[in-house]
Amino acid sequence: MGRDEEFRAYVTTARPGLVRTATLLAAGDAHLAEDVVQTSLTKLYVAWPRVRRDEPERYARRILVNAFTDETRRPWRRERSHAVLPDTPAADPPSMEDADAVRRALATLPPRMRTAVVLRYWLELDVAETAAALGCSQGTVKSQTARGLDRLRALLDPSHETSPR
Amino acid sequence: MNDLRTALSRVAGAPPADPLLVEADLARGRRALRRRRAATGASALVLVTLAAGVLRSTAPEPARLDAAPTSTAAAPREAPPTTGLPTTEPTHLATVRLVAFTGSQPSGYRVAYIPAGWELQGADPFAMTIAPIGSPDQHPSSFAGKLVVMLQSSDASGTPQGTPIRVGNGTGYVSHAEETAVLTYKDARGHWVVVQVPPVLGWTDAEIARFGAGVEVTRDAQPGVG
Repeated sequence: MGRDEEFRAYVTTARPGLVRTATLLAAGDAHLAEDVVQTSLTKLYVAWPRVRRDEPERYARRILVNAFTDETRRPWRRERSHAVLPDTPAADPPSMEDADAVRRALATLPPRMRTAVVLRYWLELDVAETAAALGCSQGTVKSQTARGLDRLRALLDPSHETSPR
Repeated sequence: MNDLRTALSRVAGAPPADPLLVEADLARGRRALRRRRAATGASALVLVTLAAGVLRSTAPEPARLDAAPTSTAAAPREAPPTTGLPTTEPTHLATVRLVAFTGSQPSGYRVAYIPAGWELQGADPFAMTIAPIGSPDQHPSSFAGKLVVMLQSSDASGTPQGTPIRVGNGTGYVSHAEETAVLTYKDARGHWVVVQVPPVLGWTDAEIARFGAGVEVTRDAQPGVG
């Protein structure tokens, strides 16, 4: 099978999962997520001869994280000011069952912290794999995920107590 | 941590497996690979030429004022050609030429020229998006691979990064992040305008400046924050 056929087969299977991961990294921003996935798959195709020898999934994950990091640094990646407030105020306190509340809580995490949480608790990578994907130390992964979890739980479960340092 | 994973699943959604998107990914990958091979070939040609003892200037020069139209009133059907303008960038495959834009101008941004075969996909006060006609990605808020114009963030400060280049009657700065170019320049009203140029257009810095010189930001445009 040539590069095109292998790549097509891989992307057909892997694309939905990459979009899901990118959507979480982007805190629910579907357009940013699609941008990141497209950028990542373009790089993956160019690097395919190297990729096919290793695990494409691990390679794609590393490229995805780097592409997301690069996108967050671009000058046009910014919040748009909202001139109109939402019509309906939240009647119930935010919770894990509320997708919008979870998305908003994720968005409060700095990109790197959010990435650590997503890699550890969505992709269920271990600390070493997460550190490799982020290009940082395992100690940094542990502290980033602990702080990220504390912040999410504080926002989504007000009865939660911050974990001891 | 099952509750967190379940919560994340609600945000992650359930995107469908769309064969059209897969084919678009493949097409983008092929174009990127062609560009990389062309750049590698052009670099090799320069080395061979130098080794043969032929001197070539490699110093970048800004675009000449008279090659960058600033008025739409007498805009020619096709933008002035790039011949005569020096460039040190590798030869690109299939540079997409600029043609006069004759469509309806959006609120916030006006363009004199548009890449041939591309269309104004959409605009809001924060950004204007131009994409290939028939692009599988039809959403104007999705910027990957598209020509995008916007105002610089309201909290940005300092001189923009990049190589200085003449844009209309002023100076802009062109920077390159991987394969994407970014032009930042101050327009006649004193606003810093940012133009994202995707590599598929194959433009030199001079051509990027030419496009920028034909852009007008109106009072309806708004900068983002952050």
